[in-house]
Amino acid sequence: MGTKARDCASRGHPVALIRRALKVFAAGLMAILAISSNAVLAQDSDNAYQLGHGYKLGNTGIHLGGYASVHGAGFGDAPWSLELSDLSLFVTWDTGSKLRFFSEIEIEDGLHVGQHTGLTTRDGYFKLERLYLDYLVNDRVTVRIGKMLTPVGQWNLLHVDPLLWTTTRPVATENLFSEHVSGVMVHGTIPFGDQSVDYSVYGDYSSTLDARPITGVSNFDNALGARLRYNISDDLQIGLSYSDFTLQGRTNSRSHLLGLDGAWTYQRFAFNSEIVYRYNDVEINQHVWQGYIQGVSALKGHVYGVARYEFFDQVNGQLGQVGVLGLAYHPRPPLIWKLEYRLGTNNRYLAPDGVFASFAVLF
Amino acid sequence: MHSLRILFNIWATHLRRDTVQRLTVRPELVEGWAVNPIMVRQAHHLCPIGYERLNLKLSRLKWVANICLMVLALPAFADHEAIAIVTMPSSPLQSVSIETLKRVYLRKILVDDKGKRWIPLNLPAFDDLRQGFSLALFKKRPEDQEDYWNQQYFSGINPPDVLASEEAVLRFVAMTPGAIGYVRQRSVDKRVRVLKTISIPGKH
Repeated sequence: MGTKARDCASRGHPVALIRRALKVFAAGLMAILAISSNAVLAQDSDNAYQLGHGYKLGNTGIHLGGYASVHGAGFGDAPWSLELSDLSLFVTWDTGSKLRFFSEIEIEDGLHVGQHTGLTTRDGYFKLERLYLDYLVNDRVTVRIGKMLTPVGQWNLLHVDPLLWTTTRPVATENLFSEHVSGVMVHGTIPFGDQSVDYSVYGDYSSTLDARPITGVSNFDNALGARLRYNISDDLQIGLSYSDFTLQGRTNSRSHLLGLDGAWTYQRFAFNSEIVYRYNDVEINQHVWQGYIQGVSALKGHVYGVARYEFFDQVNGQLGQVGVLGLAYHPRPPLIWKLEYRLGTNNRYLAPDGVFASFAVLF
Repeated sequence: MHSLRILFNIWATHLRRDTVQRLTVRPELVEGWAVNPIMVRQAHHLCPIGYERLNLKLSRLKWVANICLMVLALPAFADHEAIAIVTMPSSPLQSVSIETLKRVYLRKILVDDKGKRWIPLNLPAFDDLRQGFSLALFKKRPEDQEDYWNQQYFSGINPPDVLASEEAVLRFVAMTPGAIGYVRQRSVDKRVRVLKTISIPGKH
């Protein structure tokens, strides 16, 4: 700890307090991971709490849960690093009335150790990932108010590590739009033949709940968009997304984004793909295309093989491409270990080469 | 029969991985998702012999349960003639379609067309009726839907609550507006209204 930091701590400076809080959370995460591992090994038959199912607080209607993940990276252009990437807490409140509440608060990068940085909590910060209230109008319409995930593609709506097969995230799922919407959304499911169509229509009018951007993409200044997902069968879905938006700090230009995505599961294989196109009449590269296709196959027991190809237009006009090959060990639904290698061309800034590994648990 | 069923339940919760009548029983699924404490209490009241009153050592229970299992498992599977979907008699609903039932049990819809909350009920994951219901409705066993529920959990949606027995389902449904459950056709009585009857694939 440097002299300045020591001074801050001795005076009860807010920065020092936040760092201390992060250390406590980091220790908590370690404890959770240790408990999780023991739970797996012991197959505890206690009904009070089960890993990955959260914890229900009696009859209050409150359900607590969350997830944690540890990320490591190395053997690439960047120095190696290991970090407690996410420690997230879900709070659901649902008493059976027409109102439901959900929030997700997380600590990002709470503990970091790297080739040049040593062990530090300096990069950690709190983030309000989601916070919203749902009003259930009828079986087809729900009104949501607050901060929520932007419904573009599948990945952004399920982007937590325990639910994904790779440590790295496709560029196309985060580079061209804000991950969050702060405003109002109307969503629901409409019967369509034997199957159904999920829809959502949203407007972003507020920056009250916005956190600082972490992906290099600003939050929406304002946005209007919609998404449709047609469940062709239980194993096949296609989605269409549209968004018309202005980003914070770039209010002189308006973007139009169109996305197409699909997911197909066949026996022990799963494929999914997303393609997004963004048009902006002010930026140098007016027409930007990005996309990926990913396949997952069960290899043996709980071990899965993953392969992904990505392409992405960049602001400098270059087309970046990467391939990802990886393995995932998924012993139980709430737990996953991942290891992958990513290699590409023109990918230094958005998706650098390297080996990436992670462990994630829902709790 | 209730006592034997309880013994079997206790024994089953201590299984690590076993196979019963071609069903893979996994401990995390046997334990099921979080159950409303009120429902648990109601379910316990329904049992002529509660866990507390049994007061036997688990090792002895397991031995007894092993014998009970052999007696119970075969006939329980053989008489799966049909499943009745039930709700309270005063419900305005007269019937329910398979598609709606699927969406209710996947919790894709949380309220009915009048805006009243659905309260879908499940039996424990190892229960043969639950297995049959899941196969009939989703063509999947409960354990094959774990990834789906993990995704829903991320969105703050939890699976249907679990009750311990068909009798518990009947009592809860009879008293609770919006509750919907399933029992064997032969278990239906005047306390509930049958909305639909479905058959288990591969059976009668």
